[in-house]
Amino acid sequence: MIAYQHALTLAVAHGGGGVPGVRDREVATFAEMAARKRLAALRALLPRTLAALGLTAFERRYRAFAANRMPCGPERYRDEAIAFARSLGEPVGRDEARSVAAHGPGRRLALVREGRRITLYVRFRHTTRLHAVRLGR
Amino acid sequence: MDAPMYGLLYRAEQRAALFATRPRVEALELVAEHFIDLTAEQRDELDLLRAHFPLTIHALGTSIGSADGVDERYLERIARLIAYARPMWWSDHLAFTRYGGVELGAFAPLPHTRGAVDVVARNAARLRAVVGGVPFALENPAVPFAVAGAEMSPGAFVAAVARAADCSLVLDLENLHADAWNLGTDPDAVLAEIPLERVVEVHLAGGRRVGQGYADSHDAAVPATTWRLYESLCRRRVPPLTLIERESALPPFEAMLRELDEARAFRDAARETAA
Repeated sequence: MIAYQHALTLAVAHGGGGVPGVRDREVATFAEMAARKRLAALRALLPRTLAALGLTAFERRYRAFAANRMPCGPERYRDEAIAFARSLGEPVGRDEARSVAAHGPGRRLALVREGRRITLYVRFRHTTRLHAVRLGR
Repeated sequence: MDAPMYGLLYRAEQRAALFATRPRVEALELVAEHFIDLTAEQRDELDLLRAHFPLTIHALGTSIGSADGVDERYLERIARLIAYARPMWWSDHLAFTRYGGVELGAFAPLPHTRGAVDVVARNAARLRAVVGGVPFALENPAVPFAVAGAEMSPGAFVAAVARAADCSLVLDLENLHADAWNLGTDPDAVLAEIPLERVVEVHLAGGRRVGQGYADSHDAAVPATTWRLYESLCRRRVPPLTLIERESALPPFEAMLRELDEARAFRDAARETAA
């Protein structure tokens, strides 16, 4: 049981690999399904980065990034989105990483400074959407 | 037994339609992860819903099959949510989603072994200790692959887990349909082995064919095969709660209400046969 769970976890985290008692093809399909769910979550969290990179480059760079990363914790998608966007080394990624980092669960107000630009994010009661108010240039 | 109830998986975007047609929806299932932070907005929503509907809470992240135990921080958050929402019962899936702190992001199947039964029973005991008196139920997830070395059949495994963990069951008939397609299991044989007196909730949904397989996507109308399983179930025992569990690609609300009426018709037919 422990050997099976350990091996399957490694296979999912690294995109395949031998798992005792399971055919390799089935492990690969399961790992790909899990990867697609992670990718879909990140696309939803990083729409500006996705638009800037395009779908193909976003997926290629995400898969390279995710190959050495284990998703952990209840905020795993958000944490991963922030880390991935920062890892791109491009302004749009850095900006969006800051924006996602500012929008923690239950947070209603966040002030994000990006260079000389300051943005106030406000979530009004009974909505789930954050509204941005540009304060600086 | 109280009268059987017919309800829906709650989607916030359907809230207005839900309240406009409330008598036809008798109970709601809430996804725990949508409320687990208990923010002011989530508390407001819970207050509104629990004032008008009996609720059940359906969790995704308990990982009750994890050989290295359950995540205590997650359990504490669930316990706070359960204490606030006061559902009839709460449930999660008979699977593991986490090992060594790593999240798989999907329900991974357990081997059908006595060792796995023991793991689930141990974790269920811990869960009861933390979450308290609200009954807990386990759902049969769709199984993406079979693990070699099974010591018992799929239905016998569910029955053994329910006995060892002393918990209720949520029976997802669409998942049984998907398993039949993908693994070649016989859903009637699985049903025959499941202790129906422990089943508190039944999920009805529809999936779709993907290549050679069948995805339990819960984004389509309930297919004929799944209705047939429900009819077969009702002939033996009408479950306390039946839910249409539509997760995405939401149809017009009226279409979901019609599916609830269809489920009620199977209840009525079963009663007439019994009489």
